[in-house]
Amino acid sequence: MRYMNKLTLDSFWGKNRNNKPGAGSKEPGTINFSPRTQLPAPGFNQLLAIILLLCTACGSGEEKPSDTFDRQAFLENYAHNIIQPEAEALLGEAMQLQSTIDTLVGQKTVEHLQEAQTQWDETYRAWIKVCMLNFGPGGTEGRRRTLLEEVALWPIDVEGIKEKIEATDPSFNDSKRNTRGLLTVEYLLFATDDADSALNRLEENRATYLQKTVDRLVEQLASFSQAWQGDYAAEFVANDGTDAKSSTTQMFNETVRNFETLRDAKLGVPMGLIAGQSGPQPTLAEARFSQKSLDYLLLNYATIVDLWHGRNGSGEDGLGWNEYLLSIEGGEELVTTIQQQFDEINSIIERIPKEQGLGELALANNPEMAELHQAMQQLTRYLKGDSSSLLSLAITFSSGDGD
Amino acid sequence: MSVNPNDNMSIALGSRKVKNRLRRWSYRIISQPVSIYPLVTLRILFGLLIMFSTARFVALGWIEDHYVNPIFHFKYYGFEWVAPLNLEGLYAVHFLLFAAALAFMLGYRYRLSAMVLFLTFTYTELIDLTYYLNHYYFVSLVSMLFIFLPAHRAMSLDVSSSRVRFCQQVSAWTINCLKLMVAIVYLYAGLAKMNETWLLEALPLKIWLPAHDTLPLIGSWLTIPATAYVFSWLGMLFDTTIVFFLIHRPTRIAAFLAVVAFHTFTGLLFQIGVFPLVMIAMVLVFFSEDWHRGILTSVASLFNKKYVSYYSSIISNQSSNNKLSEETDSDTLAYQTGKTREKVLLGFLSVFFLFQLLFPWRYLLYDSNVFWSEEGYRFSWRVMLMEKAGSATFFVRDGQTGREGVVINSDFLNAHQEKQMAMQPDMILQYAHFLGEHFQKKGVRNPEVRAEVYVTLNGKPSRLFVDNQLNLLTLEENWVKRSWIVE
Repeated sequence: MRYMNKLTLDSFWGKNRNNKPGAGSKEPGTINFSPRTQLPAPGFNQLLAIILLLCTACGSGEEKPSDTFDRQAFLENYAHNIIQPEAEALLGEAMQLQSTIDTLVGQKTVEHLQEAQTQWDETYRAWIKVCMLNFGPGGTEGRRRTLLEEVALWPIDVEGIKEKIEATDPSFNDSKRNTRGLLTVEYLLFATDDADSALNRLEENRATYLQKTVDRLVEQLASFSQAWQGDYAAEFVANDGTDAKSSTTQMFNETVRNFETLRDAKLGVPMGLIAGQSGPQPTLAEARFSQKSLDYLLLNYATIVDLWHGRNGSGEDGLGWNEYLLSIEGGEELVTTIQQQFDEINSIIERIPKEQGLGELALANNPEMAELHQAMQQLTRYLKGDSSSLLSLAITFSSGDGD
Repeated sequence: MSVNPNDNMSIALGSRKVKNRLRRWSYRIISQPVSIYPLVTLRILFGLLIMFSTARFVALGWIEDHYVNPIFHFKYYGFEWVAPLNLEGLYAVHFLLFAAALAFMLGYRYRLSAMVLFLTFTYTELIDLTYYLNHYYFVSLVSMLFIFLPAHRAMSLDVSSSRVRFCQQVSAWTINCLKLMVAIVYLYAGLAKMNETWLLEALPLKIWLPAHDTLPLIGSWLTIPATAYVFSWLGMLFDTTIVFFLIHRPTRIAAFLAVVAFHTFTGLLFQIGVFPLVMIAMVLVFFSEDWHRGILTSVASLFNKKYVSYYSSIISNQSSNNKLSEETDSDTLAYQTGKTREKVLLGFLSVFFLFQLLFPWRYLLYDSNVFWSEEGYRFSWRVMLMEKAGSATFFVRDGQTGREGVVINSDFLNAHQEKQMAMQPDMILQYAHFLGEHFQKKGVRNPEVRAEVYVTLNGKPSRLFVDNQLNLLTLEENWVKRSWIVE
């Protein structure tokens, strides 16, 4: 044993076996032995044997893979049963909006205005169902920003919109995305409570801007929907790994990001719950002109819960995140915890006096809304921390190289 | 008490024997002349890899993502003064790093280029703590060691332009210090795996492997729990023993193939960038000088036949030029620094390696679970050792009005920074201090910052990580045990 140690040390420090005889013999007492001929490989064969034994022992124990989760079927459920129909529905609503606006511009009546307003509401509801799909055709590419930034950025820039209307140049080539999109259309259709004055304000330039804005919107949503109906769906399903650029990871991260946007930008900011705010700021609410911010907020939440379960618009429950988690050791407990948190949030939502708008609730410092924000914070813990960890999903590619 | 004079004599004899043995041993590890070629191979490969990794870093747009875009940077303890330059400055630094690596590889103004390489690389690593990686630390250490190694004394522009004299041999320590560095990495990485969770629960591999079930051929095997156990044990055995199999000549080839297989596989499984390549290149230091000479000669002859004959002629010229000295052939060609200089250098290296050997054990000084509290976790070759994630919510309270608000982390941090911060106490503290200062400037009076952090370790349900009622601004970053972590 001692001999082996010596051998290991000697060779470790680079004992120079190939030295010319002269160099080695300079130091008295140097023994030029060759371990190759004198000693067997110490421990290597034994180790190899152990390793092989280990492999065969384990290999024979369980030869069939355990219940694996079919990630392709999971992605197919999202692509075909959820995203494709929702993207198509949104495009349909937007085109409907386009035609009601054309009618309104052609004939400025209160009736037509109300029709356009109702259709805008339908369109926005359809939009909320896809507002988390900011990857693939909804991701950034070249000058194109995310779907959310292109379609419904808020708060809108009212002064910017007015300037553009005055300049009679609905130029959409600049980077001011808060002067266009669905929420700009909302502003132009709803900006006053009084229908007559809204019609009066809809003079020629303003009407043109409205039409151009909705035209562009339809264009963007058409290309988004077409991508999903076309090649991208297959690409999405085929990209079934779990690396940072996989469909699973992208969808997970974007859903969580959407949830955080809902929690902070849609709920926290108007309620004045964010650090540095000195009070409620209802003017920063999403879709404040149509005064349905609370509806949209709750719809956004319901959509996330549906997505979590893999449920589509008609309530059919397919393979979703909860099924994915259930296939993993320790997932069952987490699924139960998450469901409890969903229930907790639902019970708070039930107590919110929904006859009041978000603005009123904010100004009244409604305690249920603050409670809701807190409960959503708690849900973040399970989604962003526990789930992503258990599913072993990367947060981002630019996070650099692991560990 | 009477003393047997024979005992004394045998003690004296024994101690002389020990002394002799020590002398022999120190001769072998320090001053024995050995071939320079292993150093040359490593110089070339190391330079090449740094060039590659720098180009990759820039091409992926990481200068912007990592250094320029974030509003806040997490600092290394003691290096709080390191700040990112502006975009142009950072591009210049990376260009300089690339150029230094190129010059280093070619052996052009070697000492200077090694120093620039070390400084620029280390600077970029010190900008933000959240990007800490063990292998970046390793690259920093190795590039620092290279500054002191005469790796440019053969097959370099410095030699061919006669800036320095060609040397066929160098002192053994120059190669041994690289061997020791590599050995420490593997051995400590292996020792770190000798824990209950890794070996008996096969965690975190049990979480990580099934996620890669789409890999060709082996994908379906990765979902079997037994595979995680096999890989955990193999990984531990590999890390702890591989150096010895590399040292031992008969097992060297097999060991090297194992190194290639191991790093290729982990490279496929995990997002670990150039790390597999760096390690595969560095273990070549264990190969014999014949092997290095052979490979270098054949590679050089691919490029330039004259180059090779040039060297042969130098060797023969200097060998025949024996009238100037009475030294043997090998001594004439051996690289020697001044005696004092070498002593200082060896003293420095002793301290350096003593530090390397001891520093990873500092976690023992803390009465805490190193995986949870991470006191003494970094700089210790704990590589891909745990699955940890957290979610951190910060609350800023106006000390005068009592109004408390939630911080939107994405306003200040990118996704990576947030992820890293949410599970590492020192970063949580740094961020809290940043938030305190930021919101004070924004008009919050006497700010107090508390955090609600939940962390999940190796797939266990998340639990509270730090005292969620504590004003974190009352704490300072130091080396004292963090009693504010909820164990």
